[in-house]
Amino acid sequence: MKRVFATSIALFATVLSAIPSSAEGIETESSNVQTQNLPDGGIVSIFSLPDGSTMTVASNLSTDTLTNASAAQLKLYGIPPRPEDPDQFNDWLNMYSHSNQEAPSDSLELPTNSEPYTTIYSGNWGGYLAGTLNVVNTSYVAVKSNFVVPSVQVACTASANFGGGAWVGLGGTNNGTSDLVQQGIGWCNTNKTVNKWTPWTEFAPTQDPIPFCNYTTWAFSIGDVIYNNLSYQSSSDIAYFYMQNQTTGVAHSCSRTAPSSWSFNGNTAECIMERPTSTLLVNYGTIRFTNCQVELGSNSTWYPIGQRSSVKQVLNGYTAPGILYQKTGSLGADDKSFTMTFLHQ
Amino acid sequence: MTTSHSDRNMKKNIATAALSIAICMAATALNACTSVNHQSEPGPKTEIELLRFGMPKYTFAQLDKGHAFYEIKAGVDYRKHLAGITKLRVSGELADSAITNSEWFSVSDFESGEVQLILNTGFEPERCFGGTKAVIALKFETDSGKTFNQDFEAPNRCEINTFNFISK
Repeated sequence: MKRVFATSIALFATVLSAIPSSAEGIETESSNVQTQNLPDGGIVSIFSLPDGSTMTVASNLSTDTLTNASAAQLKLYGIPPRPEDPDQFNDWLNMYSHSNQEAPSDSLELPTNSEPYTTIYSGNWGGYLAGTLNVVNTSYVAVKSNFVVPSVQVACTASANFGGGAWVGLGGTNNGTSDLVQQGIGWCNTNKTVNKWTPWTEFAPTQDPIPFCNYTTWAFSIGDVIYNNLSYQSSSDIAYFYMQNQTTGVAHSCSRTAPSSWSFNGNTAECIMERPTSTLLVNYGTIRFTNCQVELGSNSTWYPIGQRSSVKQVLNGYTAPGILYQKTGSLGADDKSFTMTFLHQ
Repeated sequence: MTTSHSDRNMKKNIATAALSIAICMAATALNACTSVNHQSEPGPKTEIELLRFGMPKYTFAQLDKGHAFYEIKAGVDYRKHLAGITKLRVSGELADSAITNSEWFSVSDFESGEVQLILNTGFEPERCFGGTKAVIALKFETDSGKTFNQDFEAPNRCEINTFNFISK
């Protein structure tokens, strides 16, 4: 874990540290840590906690410092007042001269909930979604994200019964209603003739996925960075699709009218890596989603998906019998990036 | 630690769902219940085969749902039964009485491949037990007034919750 070692020359130098999440679910949050180096080697560290309170830790205090410090200094060191009674004084001196013989960590480490988001399990989705499940509303009107095209080690053939797709979408979380609009890249789903990830759009499940804006030969190479931007205009029932291969610079866009027997429901917006139901998940290694943001219709404002209180971490698998097809990594400090990892086909 | 009744039910449901999916996948892998095999053989429900359904192509779907589409070709009885007929339309009906129609299309254009027809289905991966909910009763209407019937049985035996026909 990254640590920032503060060497303060002046009293109360301010140290800022921003530590990424660890796999163990312990996060070091950005915080102000003020340190005071005392002349005799003692150190006073004052931590500012997220709730606005402070914690003072005095370490390596000598008996001279404890004996001669003023009441104000003792308060500053976080040490209770010096007792008047000789016996109590000796106990007090013994306690505080022997405690904290090493300086504390110089960055604030707060244990956080190992599942900081509401977590749901899904048989086919893995990733993150924002919004309320199983309702009809138009909370979200757009979603965007980048992802990096992953490698795949097996050949896609006409008879292959495996696949996978990374996509952004709106809806699709209301008890199976036909209300999911999505765009993304798929491997061996829509096009079984090329061993490449190909882009598509879909109104699910009313239509089968079709090549992105009818650019039927558009395909991606491993490592290409793909930017997706999907929005839906309820007043006209039109979806707007935009995708750019930021590695090559090629971009395509189009609009599509919603098909009959499909209706828009922006109750959720999501960034998903999908293992299509009834297929085996292709081993894609890892895929990194960045810039996953959702646009709230009510104020036309984009938010990192992790900044929505309704964000849910979607785990692709089942609690029983304990199958997990993909690992959904934690959201990054920017609240809009995460990594999906293949675990099981 | 105690387990609530709802927790137990949820676990039971999840276990049942997982088992169902495993059965479905195994059945699919073994090609034990494909529509082609079922519908190309005479059976009590399928007297004629006007349409032949390809293997399911599984693709992206809503949360915890399945999505399969089937390419459709002319079946073994297509030419014989539709001789002299110009236009055809197929409608489907689920057990819950949901009816969906295809567009009218040319009998000859479909046979030649100029018109393509796809059956698009959404299904419940947690309910793959076969039965009437995995079957779409197809009815064919013709411009001559003749009608025909054929059943489509989902090869994965999963309950179909939505379907439609796509013409291309």
